[in-house]
Amino acid sequence: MQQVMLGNEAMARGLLEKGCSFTYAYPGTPSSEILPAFIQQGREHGIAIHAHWSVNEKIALESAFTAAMTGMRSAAVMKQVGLNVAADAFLSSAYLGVTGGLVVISADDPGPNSSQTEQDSRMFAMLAKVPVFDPATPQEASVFAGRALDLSAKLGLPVMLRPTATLCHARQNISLKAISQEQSRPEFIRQPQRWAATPKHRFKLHQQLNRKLLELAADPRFDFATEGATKQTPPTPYGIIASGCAWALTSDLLNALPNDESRQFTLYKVDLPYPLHKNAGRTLLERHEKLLVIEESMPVIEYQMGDQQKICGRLDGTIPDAGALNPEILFTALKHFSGAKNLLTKNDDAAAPPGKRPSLCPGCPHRSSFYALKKALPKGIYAGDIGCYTLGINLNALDSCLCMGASISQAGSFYQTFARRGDSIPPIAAIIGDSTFFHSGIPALVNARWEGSRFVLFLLDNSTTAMTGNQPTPAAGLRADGSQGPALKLETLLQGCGIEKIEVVDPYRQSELTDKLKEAWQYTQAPDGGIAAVIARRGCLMIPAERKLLPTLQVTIADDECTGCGYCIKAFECPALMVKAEDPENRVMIDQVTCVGCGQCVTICPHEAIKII
Amino acid sequence: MTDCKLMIAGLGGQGVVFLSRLISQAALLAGDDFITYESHGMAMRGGSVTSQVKIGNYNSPLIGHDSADILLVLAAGEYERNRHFVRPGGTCLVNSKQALADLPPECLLKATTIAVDNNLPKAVNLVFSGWAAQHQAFPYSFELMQEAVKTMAVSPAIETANLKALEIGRQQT
Repeated sequence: MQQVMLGNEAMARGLLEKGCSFTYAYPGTPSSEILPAFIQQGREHGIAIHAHWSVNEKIALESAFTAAMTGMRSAAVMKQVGLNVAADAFLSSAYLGVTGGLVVISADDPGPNSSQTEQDSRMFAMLAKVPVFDPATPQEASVFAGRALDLSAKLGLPVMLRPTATLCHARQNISLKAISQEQSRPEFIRQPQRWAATPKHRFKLHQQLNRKLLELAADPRFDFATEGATKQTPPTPYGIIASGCAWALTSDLLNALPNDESRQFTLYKVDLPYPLHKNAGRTLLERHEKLLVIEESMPVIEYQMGDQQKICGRLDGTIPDAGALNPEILFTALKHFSGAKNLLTKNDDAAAPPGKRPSLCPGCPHRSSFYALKKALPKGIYAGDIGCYTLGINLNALDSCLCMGASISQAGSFYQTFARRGDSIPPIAAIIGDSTFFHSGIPALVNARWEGSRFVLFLLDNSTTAMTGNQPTPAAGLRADGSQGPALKLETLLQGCGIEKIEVVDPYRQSELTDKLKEAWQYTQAPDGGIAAVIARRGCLMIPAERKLLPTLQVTIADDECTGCGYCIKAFECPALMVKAEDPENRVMIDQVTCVGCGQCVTICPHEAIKII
Repeated sequence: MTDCKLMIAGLGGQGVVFLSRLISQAALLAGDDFITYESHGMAMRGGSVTSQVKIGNYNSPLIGHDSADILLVLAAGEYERNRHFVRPGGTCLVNSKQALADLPPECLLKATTIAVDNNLPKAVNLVFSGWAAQHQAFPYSFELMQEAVKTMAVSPAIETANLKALEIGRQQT
């Protein structure tokens, strides 16, 4: 049977086919669809599974690891930068190992499309000494998810499955296997020397881990030099070693070349980039004049290959050391590698004009929040964070974005750097969304309060994880499987972190919000003041129920009053505000298809030309 | 077995992803192998978005310059930055109110205006594909696209609306 599946759905399917019954994740592009697909497919087949949106990736990995300590098969799912958050648990878990099966899916984002780094999770697997699979297509990702579980169970080690965005969001016709109906019971065998190992035992565990990896590196199933190569007599001058989506791209490219050109190359596919098979590399170095290694996004296979004299790839610059691979880059690399004697020439320098940058949705409450912030604290330092509201940068209302939760630590540290010698302190605001606050803002807030830092904590509470597709947060109480849990109140949490001044405002009430932000800033300067929290609370309009609550006003711009100054577009950047086509005065109009009727733009026009009918 | 490299360009929120899903559903109904790629995350907030659909014996969904057989453009502003993906002799179909210098009028449709006039402002993508399916370069027939709409509909109301939009598009030729 075949079904159209997203790469992420295919991985969820692969887990279920091999008896995975526990999955924990924190949403992050490009990995976000895996957990919902796991729940949906598990439910459709009547399997008793447990799946949860953990508050962050570290907790997700710790939870999945613990399930695998009791003999269960489990998965922890995250994006590549989420693995940074989970790093402590990840590295330690490799030493302890598992009794069931544990797959860590860490989805990479070369490009990057929707991330702060282009890091390669396979490199992280190498650091942690965890075996890693690199699937090439959604179909293969589904199979490899199962292989990873089986390998984990066999070796008693966590195993990583590393897809990239191109695979996660590829859609393909997938051949399905039956979903496992096996329901084993948890069994916890007390082994304090293993599960709570002290440094002395850790040394022994490290030696055991090394032995398992050596054994795996000799496993003939992962010998990539055997594949299709021996039939070539004599061997082609050039060998290409590739893994994952980079292999898929290379194979399509070679298939499109005329025969006399593609005949120069033999392509080898690596399924398990770490640990790399111990003999395959040497065999290929002897077989071919030159080797090209193609992988995303860092030279993981290349580093393990040994003799660098005969190898081209990322290290010698044949493949660029940043950015996602595409057919043009590969084509250029192939020409360079083979000496470009007779490869087809192709128009590979077409310069495309830049695309339209993303912006906040029409009616987005964040837009109103940013506008009020700029009005209230015009000379402020705006320490930002990760979410849709990072787009506040378009509105000139975001000065920093380091990583999840950093807005609060950074606001605190900005305060301390100015306060040290009694310099005048600019208004400082930490801008953070509700989901990010739960993820890693809370320890930062406890720290800032303890350190005595003072700033405005501007909590943009849209009651969801909007950027990644509206996953619920603990404040909603709703869980990944749709069941209702206890709802945590942000106000109570803030109080618990020692915050004494807390205001909750609807960001659509812009003047009230501006006043509260000014007040909050004053509080940070008062002799007995501290951190002042302002919660801007209004639901994300991507949630249908929130959309229904919208006032849906009829908004228009009076042609005779608009001066064409463009202030509204620059300062508010609502997608519904557009410069009229071929208007000599560049006047602005409201695109009625895009406008959601929130009426938030009415107050911002300096000429009062924007009106509600 | 169909062999076609198809690209869809537009802005986040226009239904670019839905359209690529619809075409892949049609491919599945036709029994063709395919692989597609779509933009997610930050780009979905109104920014430039493309989807790539490769039907036939392919491993990667990515389409190179001068390779696409057909380019579907849902927002005219996105034509300029994606046209270099089209192979010589390939087809470009664009949702545009205005004439475009290098494209004949039969390759242009005022799909947004038509969708709004028919009170289906959110179904620009379907109006456009109902029309595009008439073109020789389009990989599947109008009837197969109808079937794909039916199999993908999550409710009878959505099915009716989507079929209506598709039909309005068909009538534009």
